[in-house]
Amino acid sequence: MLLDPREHELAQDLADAGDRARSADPDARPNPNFAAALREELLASGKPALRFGWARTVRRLVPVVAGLVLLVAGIAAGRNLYLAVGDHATPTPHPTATPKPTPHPTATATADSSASVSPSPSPTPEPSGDPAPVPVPVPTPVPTPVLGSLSLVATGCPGGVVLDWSMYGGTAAFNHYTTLRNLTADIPLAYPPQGGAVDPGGTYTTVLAKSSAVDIGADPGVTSYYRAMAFDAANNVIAASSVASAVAQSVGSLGALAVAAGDPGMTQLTWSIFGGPGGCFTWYKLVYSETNPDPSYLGGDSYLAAVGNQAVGSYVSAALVSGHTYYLRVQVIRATDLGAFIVAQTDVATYLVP
Amino acid sequence: MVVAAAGTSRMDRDRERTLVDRARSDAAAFAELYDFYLPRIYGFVYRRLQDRSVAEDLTATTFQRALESVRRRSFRNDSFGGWLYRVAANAVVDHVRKTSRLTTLDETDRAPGDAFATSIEHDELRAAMGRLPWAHRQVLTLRFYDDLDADEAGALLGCSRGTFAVRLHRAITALRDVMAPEATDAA
Repeated sequence: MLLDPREHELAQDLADAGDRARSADPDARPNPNFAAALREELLASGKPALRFGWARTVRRLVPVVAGLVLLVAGIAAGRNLYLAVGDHATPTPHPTATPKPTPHPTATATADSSASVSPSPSPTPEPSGDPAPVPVPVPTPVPTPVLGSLSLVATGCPGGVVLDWSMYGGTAAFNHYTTLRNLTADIPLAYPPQGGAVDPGGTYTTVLAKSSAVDIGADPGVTSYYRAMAFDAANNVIAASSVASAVAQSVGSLGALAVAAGDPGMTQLTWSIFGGPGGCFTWYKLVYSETNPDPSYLGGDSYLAAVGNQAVGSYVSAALVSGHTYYLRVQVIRATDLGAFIVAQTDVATYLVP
Repeated sequence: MVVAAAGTSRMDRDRERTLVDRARSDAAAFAELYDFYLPRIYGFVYRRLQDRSVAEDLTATTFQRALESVRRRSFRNDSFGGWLYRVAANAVVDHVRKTSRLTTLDETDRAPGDAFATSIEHDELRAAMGRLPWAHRQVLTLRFYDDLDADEAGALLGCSRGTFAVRLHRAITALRDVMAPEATDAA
C-alpha cells in the first residue's frame, strides 16, 4: 500500500487507537479457563463436549432430571424423598469423598553436578516433627517417579544456537519443557536454575510435540552448555537430557545484494549463497519495504519470497512496482518450533524500479 | 508459541501452511494454530456481540469447524486465519439473525465500527471517521481495530489481498480528504 506521509500518519494514529481499544477491554480476551477447556476438548476428541452451545442447555437439565429420578425412586421406596430434594429442586452437590493423594515426591531434590542424568532421584524425605493430630485418609500409594531421559543436540550457528531435543515419552504428567544454559557443564536438575545456570528464554513450551528452539542470547565465540528438561505442573523434573555444548557466532554477512531490472515488469535479485552448515539454514527471506530503510523479516517487514534451497542465489520478482523505491535485503533465517533467528544477511539495497 | 517474526503479532504464512498440513494428523500442530488464533477469534466475536457467553459458544463452534475441515482435508490451505475469521463472522451473523433483523456482516460490523470510532482519542480523527461512508469505516475497523492483515481481511470480505489493500488505501485517502478541510479551517 502506497501512502503519502499524511496518510501514513493517519494509518499510524488508527493503529495506535486500535491497540489502545483492544488492550483497554479485558472482556475481549478469552477467559483462560474457557481457553484451556476448549483446547483440551478439541484435542482430545475433536468435538466440544457438554460445555458449549446447545450442550450447555443439556447440562442445565441434568440436575432437574436427576431430581425427578430421585423423586420417583423415593416414592417407589415409600419415602418422602421429595422433601430431601428441596422446594426448588436444587440439585444435591456431588459428593467429594475421594481423598486426594499427597503430592508426588519431587525429583528435583537431586542436583546433578555431572553431565549425566541420575536415573532414580530420591524422593523428598518426610518432614520430622509432631504427628498430625487429625487422622488423614490413606491415599492411594504413588509410585516413585523415574526420571526419564531426553536427547539434546545443540548446534552453534551464526546468530544463535539451535536446540533440538527428543519428545518426552514417559508416563509422568508432562506439563512443559525448558532448556537451561550455563557457562560450565554443571546444570542441576532443578527449576528455578541453580549453580550459575540461567533460563535463556524462548525454550519454554507446554506443547509436548515441540522439540526445538533457539537461544539468541549466547555470547558469540563462547562455549555455552545446555540441558533440556521436561517438567510436571509442580515444576518437578520428570525427564532431562545430558549436557550439550555449542558455540554461537556473530550474525554472518552475505555482502551486497545486487538488484537489477529483468524482463519488462520484472526485477532480479542476486546474492551470495550462504556457505554455512545446512543445520543453520531454513530459508532465504527476501524482505523489502518502501518505508523502512532497515527491513527485517523478524521486524515484521514483508518479503517477496522465501527460498528454501540454500544453493539458490537469485530470484526474479514481479511484485515491485515501477516508479517506486524499495529497500531490499536477503536474510538467512533458521526457524525452529519455538522461534526463528537471523543467521546471515546481505546489505540493504535501495532500488528505484524503472 | 509462534514461529513468526519476533516483534510482530503475525504468524509466518509458511509456518501456518505447514501447521495446517500437519494438523490433519497431528494434534500438536492444531494446538499451535489454536493457541495463536483463539484470542483473536474470540476478541473478534466479542467486539461484535458484547456477550462473553455467546462469544465463547461461537468461538468454540468456529474452532470445531476448523478442526473438522482440516481433518477432512476440505480446507483450502491459503489463509487459515482468514478462513477462521470468515467462519466466525458467519457464526456471528447466524446468531444475530436469530435475534434481530440484521442479516449481513456489514450490518453486524456497525457496532464494532462505532466502538472503534468512539475509542479514538484524537478529536479530529474521530470526527472524520464518523463522516466516512460505512464501507470505508468497515475496512478501517477490520484492519486497525480487529488487527486483521490483508490476507485475513480479504478472506473475510471475499476479496483478494490486493483488492483489500486497494480498499484500505481508498479508505485512508478518504479519511485524509475528510480531515483536510478541518486542517485548513484550523489554519
